[in-house]
Amino acid sequence: MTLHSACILALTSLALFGCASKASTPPEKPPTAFGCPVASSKVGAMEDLIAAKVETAGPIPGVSVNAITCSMRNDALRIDIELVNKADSVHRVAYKFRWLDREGFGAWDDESLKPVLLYAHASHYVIGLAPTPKAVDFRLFVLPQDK
Amino acid sequence: MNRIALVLIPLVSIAALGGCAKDVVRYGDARGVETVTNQFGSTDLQLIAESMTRSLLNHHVIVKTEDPVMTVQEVKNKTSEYIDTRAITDTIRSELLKSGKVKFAVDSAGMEQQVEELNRQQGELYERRKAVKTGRMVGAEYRLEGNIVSIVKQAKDVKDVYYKFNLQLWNIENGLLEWTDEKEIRKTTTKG
Repeated sequence: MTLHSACILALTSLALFGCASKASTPPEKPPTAFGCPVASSKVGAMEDLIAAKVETAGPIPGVSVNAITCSMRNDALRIDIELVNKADSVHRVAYKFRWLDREGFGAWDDESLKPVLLYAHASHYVIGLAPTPKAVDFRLFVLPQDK
Repeated sequence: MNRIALVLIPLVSIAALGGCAKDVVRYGDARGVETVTNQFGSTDLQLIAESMTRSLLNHHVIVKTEDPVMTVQEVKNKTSEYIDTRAITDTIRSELLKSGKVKFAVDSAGMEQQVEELNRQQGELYERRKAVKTGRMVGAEYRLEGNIVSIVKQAKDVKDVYYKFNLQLWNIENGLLEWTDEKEIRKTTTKG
């Protein structure tokens, strides 16, 4: 009787311990949208992601960021950006990434501005590769260069 | 009276114009797009260095090997203009070092100074215990070399310059080309 009770007690404790440890092990994953890190899980649509990640210095008529996708390549963040020129004429823009660490501070030095020629009614794809695994987030700056 | 006016008016005009033409100095964005002329410029240097560094840092030689030791050899300037290719490789080297994934051994350009300092410390003037020891230099496993070429086309009102920068990473021990990448830049100047 006592042996039987002890066995049941031991098995119950083990089962409970197993459940308890399982529930506490997995770390909370930061929210992402289209593979990109976002501050809040409310960023669900592509428009929200673009609004959160892209900053433009002045209006660029007809030119916009159409899509952003993120993935990991060898422990480094890779960003794929689709720039679209819906205008009837060629436009020139320049862009740069700002890489941020887990705390939201700059993870790398200021990048150089990269000039891009956008043909009329065409898409242009740019790729950003994080210079360090510490860079876990980013902002994209787009500046008009037509003048 | 009229004579005085005739002399004074041009003088005052020249002085005023001289004042207008005064040079203005301003600080600019060192990382901004520079389009003063279509010769090789700061933006080209930065674009090349950044593109090469990011590509190399994502290659398996850097990712999989622990602290690979590299050395920088010559980047040949095959263009018709003067380009300080050392400035390009210095920027690439400093970006790679900053990543913390690569180490650099002394290159041929710095070897003379390295040996001179090493030998100097072997002299009687230095405390033996603290002087650096010879025979401990680390040889590079990989060497970086490359070239830059340009194609220039000029018509009456248009000048087009195309640059192609190629960088290669060679395994010194087995002579294998481990990585190579290119960066192309086109700049066009039109008059008017």
